[in-house]
Amino acid sequence: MRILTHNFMQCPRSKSYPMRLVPTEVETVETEYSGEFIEHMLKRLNWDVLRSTASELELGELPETMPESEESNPEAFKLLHKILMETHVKSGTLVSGDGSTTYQINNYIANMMTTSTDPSTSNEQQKESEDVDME
Amino acid sequence: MSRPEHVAPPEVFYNEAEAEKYLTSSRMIEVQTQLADRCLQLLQFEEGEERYLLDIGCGTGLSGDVLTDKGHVWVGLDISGPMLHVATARDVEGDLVERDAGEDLPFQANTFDGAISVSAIQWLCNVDQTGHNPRKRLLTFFEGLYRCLRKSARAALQFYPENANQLELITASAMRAGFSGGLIVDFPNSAKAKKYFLCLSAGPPDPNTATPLALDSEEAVKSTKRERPRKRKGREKMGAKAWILKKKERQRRQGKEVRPDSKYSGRKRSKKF
Repeated sequence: MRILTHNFMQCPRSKSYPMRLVPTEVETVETEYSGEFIEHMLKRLNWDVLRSTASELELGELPETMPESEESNPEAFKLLHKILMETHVKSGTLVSGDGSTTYQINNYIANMMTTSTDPSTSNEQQKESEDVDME
Repeated sequence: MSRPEHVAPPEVFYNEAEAEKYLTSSRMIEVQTQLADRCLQLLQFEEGEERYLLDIGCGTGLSGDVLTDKGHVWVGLDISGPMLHVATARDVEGDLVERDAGEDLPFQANTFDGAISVSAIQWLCNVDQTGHNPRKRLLTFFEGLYRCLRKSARAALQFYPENANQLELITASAMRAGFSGGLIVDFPNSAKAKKYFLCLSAGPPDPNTATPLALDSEEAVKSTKRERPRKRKGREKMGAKAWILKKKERQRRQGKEVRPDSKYSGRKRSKKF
């Protein structure tokens, strides 16, 4: 899973954002640089979350404010490409913002399944089915 | 035609053996690739645009490869672990998430520029567990999809409806979640090549882009529109030119490869043959 995708993920159960990323294995895979794509994605990124994730994983120091364009800060764009596009989390965990749920990342796959792994969901499901019956 | 939906729940049906088929069967690969290509075409991006897309029911990532080829970055969602493990073994470019699409999607609002899905959403009509309610699961899915798509972003979802009820349930759920758009049926006259695509737009449709056309028809086919065949004016004589042209036209509508009509079509050969 890329850091780019982490920036958009929320806990499906508690809806909390951001989720804390605790990687055990990180890989860097070189990909072709596209400044256009970075610029396209820039406005929808949560900059503060990205900055703190990048420094926690020791990927580099991003400037305090979002760079405006590729011309104004080409170095920041290069660094963004490295962080967002080339850094893959091979294994680790994602912890929801309120710390209630932990999700595993294994073999690059983030397992976000919430049923059958935890007894609390089955209760929730029962409630849901009761709601349906009421309808 | 057998329907895998009747065999087992998706997370059970798509086991290692089934996932293996998507690696080795060239027919499966070809069909998946073609459908993904058509979905992407229905999203109507400009040539060279690089976008951030969601692939629902990505499986082994065959559809994702089509997106990668066009320069898009994608996130794949699937309920089957074994299929996703095959995807990582194939070194797909996209990020993979194991999750039931019938529950809420784990993404923030306004994330994706578009979404595609190849042969997946009919699975949401299944009742595999007690407490599963297709109506509710479909609505949860479409509401989640609506949320994580950007404003006016499009989604092209190809699926195999089992019957008219299912078709209506799926379309109605999408509309209830706030999507605009409709159904496109490619090759409506052929039993085999006929394919359903649900083309949705999050919010009001963009007036600058034309409604996509179904393949092999004059205008986009709407799910509500029904055409009745006109009364036949007698049958052409078999082998006559009119009969041949009619037959060719019918095969063309079915998406088969047919030689173009010319002044020689349906003519007798001269004596030297």
